[in-house]
Amino acid sequence: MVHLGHRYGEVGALDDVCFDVGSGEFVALLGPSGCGKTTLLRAVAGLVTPRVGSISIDGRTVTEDGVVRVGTADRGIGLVFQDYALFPHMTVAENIGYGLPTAEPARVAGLMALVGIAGLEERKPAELSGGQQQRVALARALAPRPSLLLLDEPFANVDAGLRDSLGRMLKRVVADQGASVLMVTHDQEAALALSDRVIVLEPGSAGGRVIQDASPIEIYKRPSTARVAQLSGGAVLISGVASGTVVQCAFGELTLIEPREGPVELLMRPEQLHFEEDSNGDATVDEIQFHGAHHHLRCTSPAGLLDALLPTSEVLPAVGSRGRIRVVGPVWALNR
Amino acid sequence: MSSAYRWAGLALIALLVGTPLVGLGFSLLDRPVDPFTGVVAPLLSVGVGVPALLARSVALSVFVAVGAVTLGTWLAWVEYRTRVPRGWGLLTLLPLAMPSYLVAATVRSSLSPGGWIGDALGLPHMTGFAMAVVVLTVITAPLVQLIVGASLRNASAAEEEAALTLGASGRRVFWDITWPRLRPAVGFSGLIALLYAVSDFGAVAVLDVPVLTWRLYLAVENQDVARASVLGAATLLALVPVFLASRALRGGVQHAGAANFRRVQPVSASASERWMTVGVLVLVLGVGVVIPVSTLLVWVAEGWSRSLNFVTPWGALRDTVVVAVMGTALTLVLAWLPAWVVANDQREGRHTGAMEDGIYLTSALPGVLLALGLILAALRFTLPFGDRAYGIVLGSGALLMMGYATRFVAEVFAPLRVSFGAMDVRQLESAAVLGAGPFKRFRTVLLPTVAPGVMVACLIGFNAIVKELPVTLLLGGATGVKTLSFRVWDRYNESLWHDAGVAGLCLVTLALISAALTVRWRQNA
Repeated sequence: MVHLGHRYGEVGALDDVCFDVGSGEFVALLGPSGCGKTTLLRAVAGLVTPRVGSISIDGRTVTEDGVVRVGTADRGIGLVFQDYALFPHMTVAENIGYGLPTAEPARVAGLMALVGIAGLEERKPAELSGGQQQRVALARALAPRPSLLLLDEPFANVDAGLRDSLGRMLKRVVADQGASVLMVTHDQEAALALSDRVIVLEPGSAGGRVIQDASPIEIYKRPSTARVAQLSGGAVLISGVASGTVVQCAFGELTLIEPREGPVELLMRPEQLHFEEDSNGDATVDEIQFHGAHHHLRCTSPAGLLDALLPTSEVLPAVGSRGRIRVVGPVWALNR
Repeated sequence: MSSAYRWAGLALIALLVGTPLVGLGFSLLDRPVDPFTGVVAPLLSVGVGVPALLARSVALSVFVAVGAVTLGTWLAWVEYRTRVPRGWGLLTLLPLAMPSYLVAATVRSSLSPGGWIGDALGLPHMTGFAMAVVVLTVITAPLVQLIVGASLRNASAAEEEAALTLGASGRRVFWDITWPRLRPAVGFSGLIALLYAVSDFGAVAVLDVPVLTWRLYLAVENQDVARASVLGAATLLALVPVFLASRALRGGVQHAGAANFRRVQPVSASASERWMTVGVLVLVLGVGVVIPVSTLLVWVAEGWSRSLNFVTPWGALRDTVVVAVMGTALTLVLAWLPAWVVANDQREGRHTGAMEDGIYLTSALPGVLLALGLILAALRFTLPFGDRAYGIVLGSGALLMMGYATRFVAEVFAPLRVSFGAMDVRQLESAAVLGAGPFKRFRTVLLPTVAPGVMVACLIGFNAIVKELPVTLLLGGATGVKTLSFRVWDRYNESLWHDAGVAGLCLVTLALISAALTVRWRQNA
């Protein structure tokens, strides 16, 4: 995808977006609402024609500077829509077999078994649960053996309990089928957990643009901007002054992941912040929320309001308790 | 949505609306009018009483609109706010299936001296303005009931409950919460009833009410083009403010739905409400259905008892079905593209005013005026091709089909647009991504998904064409086609009641079947 740009009337949607997806690679497009990630996905599918730039799939240029060279039907891609877009008047088997040029019952049955919906062949979409519908949509998209599978917010309509199991199934199935995947999501957990690479988009005045393209661990631990840090998980950002691998900040002297010099913005993830009770401490617990494995402690500290994590196994301080915030491990510095 | 589709849709609508208006316009311009007084002088001078005809048309329409709103709103309220027997909605909508001229003819015949009710009750002659108001009110009340009922059905129980929990009385809840939701629907439906009454020709002709459409028909029948043009222009003048008002209200009828929408639960009606409902029902069903059907049966029975010769209705029935099917097919084809464009534009938040206005303007044109406009346009445009060309155009049925399509394109357009709008376009995109070409997408995804809406559109078009009188009389006469509506009109005017009765019963049966099928398919749409 080379220097893609698109506008809806006067509203910019994409601004000089440039990236590629390797064979068999699982890439997530992560970004807030309005950053153009769905437009990007639709452009790859051929449902939107970008005004500038080009898109190539399997070495074929499919669109170039507003001219469609290969239509949607001939791009050899699969697309799973956010709301699945199953054909309501067709059975599950008919839906899955729709994109096959000739009837292949064995292929349909194989895919149904692969995604875990064997036995539902004759059901209509209205007779399926949300999770089952998503599995049908995935099987239908994979049936014509696409080289590239596009996923539009695949977990948006699935409850939290199903998300993990569907995510694992998705990863296993696309690996089995050998398809490359481009997944659009605003769910940072899904993006980090499933993908080999994460591309972070940010809305701008001229449209969405790429602000970081890296592995999930890189995105989480070494974000390029404060925005990426916030999009990729809980983030506490405080200012400090760096000198080599040491930085001075409101929490005292901390170690940096990479050496820096001068004023910086420090990123700390909640799991790095531990609250330790101390009647002489400079932090106060304002609010406590139970999150299963952890308690989230909202504290007032010298660095301002922040969330610290406390494992459920540890003794829980009372609201109003005084203590200190201890930063565990080296921290990442961003340019100020 | 490609702009080429949009322009093609607009061109199609412009052709439909423009042709009769251009015909009428040319005819007026051809007349040697005083350049300083324009068309106003001829309006006032041709024949006598154009202003009186205009005033009577307006008065009739206003009385009908007020009556229809009163009865229709009450019926809608009873249907959605009180516990009613199963099938209530269908029962009260039955008068919609009845052609106005048939109701007028049977009511006049049965209630007047010599009629089976008139003799029994010693009633005077039931003709004139008041009778036309009653007949047209009864026929248009179900239209109001449909529109206001849709608004009541979409009223959120939570809104009214919220007002109650905030201490509002039942009366205040109605005026503060319920009425603001109903008001646009009541206003819009009143204007629809008004348009219907202005446009009606059959009932006023049968009941001898001298109004614009009736006199316009006579002028066309007598081939008095000058008078017809002026009366046509006057009818158009009467319609413009009504159309503009209905256009302003049309958008306000729909309200945004509340999250987790829940309908208001019906309650038992009070004794006084029940009596009032019985009274309304007796009037609407009595005048709209029971008297017409009974009278048709009486006509047939009398003919039978006197051993009169009956003309078999099968030829007229066949002609009606053939003409209605062809007309519906053409109307469907013409309405398809505009409905698709408007549905997609509305989904994308685009303004669709011009195309919708054009479509609804076609339905606002009275059948007589539309037929006149098409005749005048055909006369004008066939002039360079010799005298025979006009005869060929009229005799081939092309003008008749165009008349039906123009008259009913809005009625077919509305359910199509709703059906296209409700469709998940991602299903089409999904099919495209899966490699389906345009034809396969149309055949396997679009058509099955919108089939119920298309079926409703076809049935509505079919029903309307079956009942249509002025377009059939003025444009169909030269084709040799004798439809049931033509037969009823012809035999009634010849006082051959027994034949009119048979044709009328066939017509009512056909209309009721298509209306019942419409209700059934609407539930799937």
